[in-house]
Amino acid sequence: MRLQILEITDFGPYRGTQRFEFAAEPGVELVWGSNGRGKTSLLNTMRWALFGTVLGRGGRTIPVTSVGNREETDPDTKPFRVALTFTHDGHQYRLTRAYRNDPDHPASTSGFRITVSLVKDGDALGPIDRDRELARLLPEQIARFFLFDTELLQEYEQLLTPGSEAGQKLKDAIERILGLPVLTQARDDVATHLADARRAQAKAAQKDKATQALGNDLQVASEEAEQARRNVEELVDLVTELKTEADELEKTLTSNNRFKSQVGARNAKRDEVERLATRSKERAEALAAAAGDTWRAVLAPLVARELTAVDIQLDATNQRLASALAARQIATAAASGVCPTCRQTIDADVAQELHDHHDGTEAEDVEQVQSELGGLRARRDTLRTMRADGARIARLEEEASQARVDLSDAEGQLRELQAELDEAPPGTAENIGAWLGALASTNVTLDNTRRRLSETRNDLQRKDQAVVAFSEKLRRIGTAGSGAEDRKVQLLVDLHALLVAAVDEFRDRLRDAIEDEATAVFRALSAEPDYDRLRINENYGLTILYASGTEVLNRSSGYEHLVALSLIAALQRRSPMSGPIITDNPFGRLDPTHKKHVLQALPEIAEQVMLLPYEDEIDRPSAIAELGDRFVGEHHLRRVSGTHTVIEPGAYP
Amino acid sequence: MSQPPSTARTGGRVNIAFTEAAEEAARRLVNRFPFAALVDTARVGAAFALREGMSLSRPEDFGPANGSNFNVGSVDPGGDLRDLLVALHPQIQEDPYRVLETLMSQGVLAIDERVASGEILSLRDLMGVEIST
Repeated sequence: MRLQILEITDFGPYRGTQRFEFAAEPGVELVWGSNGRGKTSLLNTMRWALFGTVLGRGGRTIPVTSVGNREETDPDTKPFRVALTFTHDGHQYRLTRAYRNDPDHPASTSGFRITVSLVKDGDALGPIDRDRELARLLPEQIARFFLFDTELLQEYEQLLTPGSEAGQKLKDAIERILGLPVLTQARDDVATHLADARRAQAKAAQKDKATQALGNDLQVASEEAEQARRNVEELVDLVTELKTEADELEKTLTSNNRFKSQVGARNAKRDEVERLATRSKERAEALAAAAGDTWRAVLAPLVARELTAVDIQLDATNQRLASALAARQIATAAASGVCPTCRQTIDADVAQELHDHHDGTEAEDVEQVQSELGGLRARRDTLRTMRADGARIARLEEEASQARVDLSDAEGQLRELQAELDEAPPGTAENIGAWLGALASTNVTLDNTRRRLSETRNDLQRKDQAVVAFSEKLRRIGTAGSGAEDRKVQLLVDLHALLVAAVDEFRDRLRDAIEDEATAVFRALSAEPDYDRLRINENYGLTILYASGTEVLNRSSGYEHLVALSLIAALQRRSPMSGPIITDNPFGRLDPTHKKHVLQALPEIAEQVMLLPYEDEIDRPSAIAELGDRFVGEHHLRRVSGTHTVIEPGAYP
Repeated sequence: MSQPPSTARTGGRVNIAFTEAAEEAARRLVNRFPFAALVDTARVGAAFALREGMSLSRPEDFGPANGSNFNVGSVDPGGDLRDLLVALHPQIQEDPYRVLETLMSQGVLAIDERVASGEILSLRDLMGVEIST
């Protein structure tokens, strides 16, 4: 299948009728679109035309009533239409699918109806031929291998995880394409019949006294197993839903990577500012508490000087006191002829000598000197009580000042980061914050649900084993009334075993074929000469091997994509269908080297490739240079308003 | 040694106040430095005046001390400032709190002037201490 012309009328943001002509030559076309401009809607126009479905985030179906172009405030459902012209096997087709007003069918709940027309080589096909032709050209079940979001290629990694619910879904899709459902459905139908037969076996056993208790046990075990099976199914659905939600959130965050890192930096800086503000406040409070003693520190040098002076005065006054006391003793002895200390009489010549010794100066008054001494001691004591730690106050002042400077610097940086974020579309920062929060919350719920699922699966296994054990026991006992039911159970057990073996055998053959095809593609795509081949596991997960057969561990995300593309290519080759590859966000998670690999890979897989990147997703000149002559066309999605996008030729101006 | 001031020891003086100009200066200092209240600048002003050897006598152009009234118990809760004044200047005859009232106004005006001239920019400058950081 090769797409030629896409005509869109009032679909999503594509207002009016817009015509898009695909390049006629084999190769890669680029359609650039900023976030919200309508890349996914463009992919959906083709999905709508081919399959009549419109998918939103995470592969959820969008109701057709909300697809028609309308103003934000207009609540009314609007009609829309897509016409796709393509060629296949030398025939030309024009497929038109419309959602249109239906005035002739007032009973219609919406007042709208869907019309589909397929014109083949100029002839309009009738409904039966039309549906048969469409199912043959490109069945919806394999759409994921033609119209896909590259961000979701990571889901192929799930094929390598035993027991992964997403991997199981994907495996089912792969096997549907490859024709396995004929066998698996037969096996599952037989399993259902077997469960019914065991219930009948239990009923029959309950009628016989000899087996009544065992029949009761089998009935209870069957009911419990059935309930456990329903629990597992519900949890599988829930896990898939949560995983889809988490993938979508990651994808959204990835497409806002630039703003995400800015928000991250802004949030980190905001936290830092909060910490610094707290520190600054603490330092300021500590300083304020200490600053009350500043006056003491101001006086400290004066007090120190004064203490020295008072100490010197004290020494001098002590000496004066000693002199005054000595003078008074001498005077007393000379006058009285008796020593005032030992009370002995003094000889006349000694008394004369003491009298002569006196130099005639007036001795100081002892009491007055003692009073002076007391005053000086009191001053000294007062001065000594003055304690001031000026160094501590100064250090606290330094710390408070530094904390203010640090805070001011951080606040300036925060303002700059905020200013950069303010240039983003309104609400970006809030949205990213909300997305990050939602992702964290979803991942927690997902982990918890997976744990519950694992426990419930184990529970189901135990209950199934109990059912088989009771059923087998009953069969061995065998009563007259339950013989037919026992034989039926045995027949179905044998048939089920046969179909299980058949499914396994068919799967083995398919896996061998897919492994060979995927390895051939991978070898053509891989730039790493040491990577020799791919090995497939029972879930169709592919592992890269060295020539020695050793597994390549921890392969890069780029190689994950290449491996996924190899699998898609192999499935396309093993499928009778062939068609274009149209991918949204083709390079979102890849580094430049792997973007280059993908650019190399896609034209190898399909003749017609359309990539829908956003502007920052890949460097345009590099991409065009890398594609060389495989680059065959380029368009961009121009915003007219929030609800109006126009497809225009060329890159963004 | 230190005792709460009593009216007996303060010569009956209960309140002291800045002059109008000094109060304006004191308010600027409260805004400029991490002092909790105006009364902190009163203590710092008096201490600074003492350290700088400013006259204990009230100059003729001192003007009326009609700024906010501080209870002497607020300015000098333990009497430390008064005791220190007396220890440094035992010769003073005047009521110590009247002397301190003079010194605190003179001191804050002097500090405010040096702040304005850039000579004092921090508590460290004010304290005149050298700190190794």
